[in-house]
Amino acid sequence: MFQQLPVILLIILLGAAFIVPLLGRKREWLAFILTAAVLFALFLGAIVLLFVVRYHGPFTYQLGNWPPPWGIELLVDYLAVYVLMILGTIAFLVMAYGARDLQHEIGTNVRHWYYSLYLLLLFAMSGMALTNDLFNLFVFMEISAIASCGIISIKEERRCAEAALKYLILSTLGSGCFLLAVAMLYMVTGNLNLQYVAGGLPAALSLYPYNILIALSLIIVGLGVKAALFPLHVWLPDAHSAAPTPSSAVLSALVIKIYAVAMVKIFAVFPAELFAVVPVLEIVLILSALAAVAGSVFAMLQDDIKKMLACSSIAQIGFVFMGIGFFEGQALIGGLLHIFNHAVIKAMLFLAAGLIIYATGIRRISEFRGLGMRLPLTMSAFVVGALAMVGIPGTSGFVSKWYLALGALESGKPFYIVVILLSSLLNGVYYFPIVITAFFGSEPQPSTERRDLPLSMLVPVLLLAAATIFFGFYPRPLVELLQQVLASQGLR
Amino acid sequence: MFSAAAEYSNVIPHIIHSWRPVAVVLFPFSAAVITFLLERKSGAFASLFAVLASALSFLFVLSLYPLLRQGTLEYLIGGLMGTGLLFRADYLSFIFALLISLAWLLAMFYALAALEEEEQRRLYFPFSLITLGSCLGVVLTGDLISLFLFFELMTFSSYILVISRRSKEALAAGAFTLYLGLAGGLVMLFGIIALFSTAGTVALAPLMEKMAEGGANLSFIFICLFIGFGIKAVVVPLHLWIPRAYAAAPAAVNALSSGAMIKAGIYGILRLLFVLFTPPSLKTAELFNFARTAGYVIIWLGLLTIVAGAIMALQQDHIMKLLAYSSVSQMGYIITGIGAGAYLFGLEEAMGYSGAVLHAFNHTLFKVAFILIAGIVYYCCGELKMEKLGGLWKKIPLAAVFFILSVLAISGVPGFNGYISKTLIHDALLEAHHHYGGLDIYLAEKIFVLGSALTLCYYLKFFQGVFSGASRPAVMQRRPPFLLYFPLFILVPLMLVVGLFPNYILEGFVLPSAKVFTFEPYSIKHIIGFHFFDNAPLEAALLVLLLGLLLYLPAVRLHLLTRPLPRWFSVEYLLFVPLVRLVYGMLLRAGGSLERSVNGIYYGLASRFMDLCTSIDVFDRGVDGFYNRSSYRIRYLVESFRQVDDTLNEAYEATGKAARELAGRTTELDSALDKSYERAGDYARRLATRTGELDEALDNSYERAGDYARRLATRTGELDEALDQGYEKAGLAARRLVEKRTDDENATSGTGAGPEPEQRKGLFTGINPLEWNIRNISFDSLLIAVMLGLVIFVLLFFARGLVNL
Repeated sequence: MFQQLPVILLIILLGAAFIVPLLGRKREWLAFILTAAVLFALFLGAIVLLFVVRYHGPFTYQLGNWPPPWGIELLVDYLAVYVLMILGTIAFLVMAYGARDLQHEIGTNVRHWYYSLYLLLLFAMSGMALTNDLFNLFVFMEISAIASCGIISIKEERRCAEAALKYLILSTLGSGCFLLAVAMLYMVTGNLNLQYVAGGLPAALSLYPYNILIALSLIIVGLGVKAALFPLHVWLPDAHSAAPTPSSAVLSALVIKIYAVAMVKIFAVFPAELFAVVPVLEIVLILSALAAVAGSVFAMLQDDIKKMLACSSIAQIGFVFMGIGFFEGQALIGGLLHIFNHAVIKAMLFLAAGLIIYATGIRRISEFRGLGMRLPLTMSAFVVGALAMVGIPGTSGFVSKWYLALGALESGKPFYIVVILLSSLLNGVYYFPIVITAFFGSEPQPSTERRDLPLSMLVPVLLLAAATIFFGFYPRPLVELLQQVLASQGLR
Repeated sequence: MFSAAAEYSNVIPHIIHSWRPVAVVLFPFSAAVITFLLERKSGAFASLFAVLASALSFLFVLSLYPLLRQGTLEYLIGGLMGTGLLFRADYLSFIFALLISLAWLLAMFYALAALEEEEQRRLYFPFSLITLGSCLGVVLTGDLISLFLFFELMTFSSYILVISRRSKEALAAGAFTLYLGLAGGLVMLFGIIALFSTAGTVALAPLMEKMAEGGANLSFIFICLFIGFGIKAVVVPLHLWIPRAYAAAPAAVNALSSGAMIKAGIYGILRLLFVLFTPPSLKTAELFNFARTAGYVIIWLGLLTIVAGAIMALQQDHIMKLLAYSSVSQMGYIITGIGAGAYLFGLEEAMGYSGAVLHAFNHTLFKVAFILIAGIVYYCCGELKMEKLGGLWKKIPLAAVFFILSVLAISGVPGFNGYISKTLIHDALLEAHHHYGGLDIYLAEKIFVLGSALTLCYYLKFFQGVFSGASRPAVMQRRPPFLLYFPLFILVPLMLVVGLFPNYILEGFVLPSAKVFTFEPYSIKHIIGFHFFDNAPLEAALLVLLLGLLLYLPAVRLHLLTRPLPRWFSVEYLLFVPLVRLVYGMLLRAGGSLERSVNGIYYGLASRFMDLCTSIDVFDRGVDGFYNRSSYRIRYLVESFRQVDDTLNEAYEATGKAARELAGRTTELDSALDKSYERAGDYARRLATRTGELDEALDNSYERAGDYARRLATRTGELDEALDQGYEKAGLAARRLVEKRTDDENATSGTGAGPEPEQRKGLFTGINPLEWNIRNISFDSLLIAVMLGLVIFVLLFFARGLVNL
């Protein structure tokens, strides 16, 4: 009965992306309502699919009823459902926040285009989560890159256009790498469907080992650029800090993660013996460790709050890739869990930063004195986020780091625990001064600009903060879901 | 006698499922929320409520007692934090919970009168309740993760207490405390992770065997956990935060730190040594030796803490700092006691253990008293430096009396509580010497005595500096209200009670907690009915007192105590500052140099680009010149073309003439032929006319062609000039671009990271694409290419392995 649901979700997202600008020319509020409704439908659909997968197991859907080796196939498994759930939840909350924030940040004439691009981005990301076809994955990847550029540059400022152009060029390089890799895999296996590729790879490995290795390195670099894995992160600080706040939140929370998910999907296709011989995972691991430390150091040097949060994302995506780098057991659970946790935390932090900018116009951390008293709820949410980023127990950030650390020991690489802890300490070094200046700075600044915070902006932030604490204390449902993800991917 | 000992030992605890520990821990948190809400209405009411709440939590802790007599209380909130939050109260937890909540109650009473600034009160009351909750949480949880949760909470909430004065100094001290605590917490977390992954559980239970089976590096886990707790328990060299925090925070906060929070660290060390790292039995020699060695090391750490703390205390002029170092020194006794207990595993462990626990309790009594007295001094005079104080004996005699009584207690005069616990720890050292012998332990005992003597010395200094002597500049400004004395009326009698009825306290209060552990019945029996007022311990106490006086009098004469030690002579400057500078500097330098090198690459690229522009300019000029020259040539060519044209003209004219002549001749010939050939002559005449016409037409056309050629030549000249101008313009523009770039470069390098001029123009209208940092993109693409190359290289390097698959 729910067989059609995944494709219906995709069609709704894509269709709405086309209808919204038509509606928005006359009645912008209608466009917004439609956008929010579609995002909410995505959220509900993800929940329904979660139960379907839970009770009936993973299933596939063949587009246009074409059987797999030729037709495109959508695979609804635990990983896809997990990712769809994250996408739906965060995207809906961010859009709810954006209802008021966008009025302040971008012009009336382009706002309905923003909704359209936003829906298109969500369509692409949902597609990437669901698809079981390499070339289709690439197509969705390109749509997502274009839509991301759109929602960065929609704010009519020079640095947005500049950041978007830079992102466009570099991410095109990434897509190019990926396309080449897809071509090479197609060359040796004759298939694009992931399951068929998995079937063909062991035989191809002995015949064309170099093709496959080069395809792997292209995948690492291509997806690494897109997911801002250090040192391929160069586009991220500009792009994520210049964009309007809802875009920053979605980009940092969702867009860079979806490529990590794609990497998990693709790595699961390769035979395990390959990873035992060739240090693919080690490369990812080393890069992730560098990212975790370097991202924090970059963040320490920033004074602009959004830029600091963007740099912090580099460090956090490092944790996600660390899980992928171990690619087994608790560490992978930790990495995948961090996709959710970081999505919640970083979306919350970006939205909170956006609230601060909205209410006071302050962007520089050094001017935060006395903000805690002026915006108590926002700053409290920020405190929760800061604690979670450091990984204080009782917040969700702790849980993912805990699993990562356990996994590191399990795999006999305790060095990475030192990296995790060092990165946590560095996180503390740059997050706490913000909190301290905001709450306990010597004297509050004379208020330059003042606007009351609308409830529609405050509630998403508080909900995300509550989720941070809730999943800090009660991570079990997520962990169980991820254990099933691992089991269904045939990993330990 | 033996049955009495059996009552205290080695019983598998009867576990009672009860929600009471949870309530005890959560009550202060909810009270904090209510206090926070009440503050919006009325500050005074809120603070009264907070004090009431702390009194209630004291009563709640007491109410655990009847149940605890029957067994251990446990409550598991399943599903939380992965393994579930386990709350557990056993007898040891109870002792610590009791002393924590007692210290809290007294300190909050005191704060009611002492804290005057509204801002300080607003922070103090709710956050001290949160800290109380987390402190109780530390001692009332049954597994390491839950313990760690509350431990971190305590670090954060106590930070807010430390900075409650909000001065620059207070903020710095608070930040120091916070980061040290955070670092300690992370190290501890490392230990917990390592423990969990090898033992498979984080329960507070004897896990040594499981860890060893799991292949754990025991000493690594031990050190990690010890550092985590040691920072809170101010073990030298991890004590650095305490003098700073004390100097910056009000007395009401310091009483909490000394009375309760550092005890949470001690509690952790006790659990660590006597529970987690208890060897399962004497037969497993390896594990047994590990525990014994750990104990031995900890004895020496404790002695170091005693002596270093005492020496530093002697040097202080600031009385809060003196008290801070005194706390360090006293923690040294407790740690020595714990170490001695662990060293004597299987022999006399109960001796060191009970001495340590009792001393923890005693220390809370007298140190809270001292801090409150110092607070009273501050309240009266607004000053804490001894050089500005003096002669207060007459002004606040009640405080002086309490002070003297507390000094008697802390320096171990028989009849007071300090004597009892110090005697027990001293005896544990003697036992260690008795059982294992060796010069080192003999020496340890002597150092212990010396440290005790120094304790007396620095309190004599305190007394002389503050209460006796002549009045100093800082005079009494106001009289303390009676409420400030109230806590002292509870603390000082308690000291006497413990000192006079030691056996009752030990057997009724301390030894029951030994049930938690697996102590030898024999060692417990040894303590029951211990003769505290025997000759040997009395002599030892007398020796300490005499030695203290003997050391103090000459030191005063020689002004040794007013001469501060050089600044570098401290753990901080010898060990931590270089270390922190190294690590921090390395990180920042790495980040900075990365940025700088990236910048360098950008600048390099920029200067290359400029060079390129310059050479383009030069090239351009060259091209310019070339065109100039070539146009000159063309002009010359045209001139000569014109000349050719002229000559051609002439030539044609000449041909025309020749043709006319020919025509003339033909006419002549015609007339000559006319005669003979009339018809032919006619035709010939006609032909001649025609030829003449043709000739004219030719003439005309040649003229026209010359005209065209002339015109073409002028046009070429014009085109050439136009091209000339175009090239000149292009050259100028390029030159301007280059100049502008140089200016930009100068501007950015001159002003550093100056704020960019805000450009709020429409999309694509005010944007000059040339100004975009395309340089970055080229660099970034290069980076991607390099990474790709690197990854391919590495993978292909290892590809040889694939052949064997």
